[in-house]
Amino acid sequence: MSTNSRGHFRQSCNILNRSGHVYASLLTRMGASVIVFENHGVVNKQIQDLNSQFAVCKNLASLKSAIEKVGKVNLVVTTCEPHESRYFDSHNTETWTHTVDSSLTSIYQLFRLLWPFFQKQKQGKVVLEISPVGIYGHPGQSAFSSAVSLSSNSTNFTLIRVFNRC
Amino acid sequence: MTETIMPEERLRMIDPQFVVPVVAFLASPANQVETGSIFEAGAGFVRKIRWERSRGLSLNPDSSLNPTALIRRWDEVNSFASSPEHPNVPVLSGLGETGSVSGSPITTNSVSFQGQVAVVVGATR
Repeated sequence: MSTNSRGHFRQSCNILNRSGHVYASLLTRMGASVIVFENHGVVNKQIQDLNSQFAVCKNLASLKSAIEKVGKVNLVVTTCEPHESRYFDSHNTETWTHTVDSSLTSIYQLFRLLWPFFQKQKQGKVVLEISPVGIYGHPGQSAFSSAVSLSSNSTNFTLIRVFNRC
Repeated sequence: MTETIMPEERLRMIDPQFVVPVVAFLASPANQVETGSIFEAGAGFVRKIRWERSRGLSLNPDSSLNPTALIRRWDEVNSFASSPEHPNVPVLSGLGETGSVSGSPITTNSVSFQGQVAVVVGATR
């Protein structure tokens, strides 16, 4: 997710959130109060039915308000995905900018929002799920590899998802 | 950044002139082997950095793969004692093969997030 000219987060691709949906569903079934940060599409109603404290936030301001209302945030799960599949020789500046915005700048903005809560709590876990190209590198995904390599240094845990159905 | 706190002799040792030869070799036609690698170089030291991957754990990709099952065998995920690998690409072998699970599969998950608040970024179906 990254911010557009109006300051709103935007998704890089609407098929990139299968993992997010699975995380929200599983964590809800395991007893967590889940706040979904999503500004695209419709969140599965089953998740909402499972959890009375479930909330959907569509921008950073509403996410901050939701966390303040609940009073804490223990765990953050976010994903980085390649912007699109495109050969390196057809990349342009916009491709690079969009990918870095989606996979690095948006992560930074999210961390900046969460940091005061973690500081106050003296506790907080961040899980970043990324494609293996963020670890091993890939010329065709050089922007993505660079962005997630930097993002992964900001998290407690980095999960490398090896098998990706997207 | 560290110039003001290092002894003079140490500063002499970490001069860029002792790093450039490493780069010159790697970039030269004489290097026919190294590519995609990471090196630390300075003060006369030249060392290679690589990823190390444990043999890990293989579980059946079904409902028995739950947090409780992982807790019981997390030591196997973390063990580098038996022939670790040094990959430069993600593992793709073994996809579709059934994992070997010793003993009865743990089908009941006891790990709970009760009382915890989680933020999930992006959960559209």
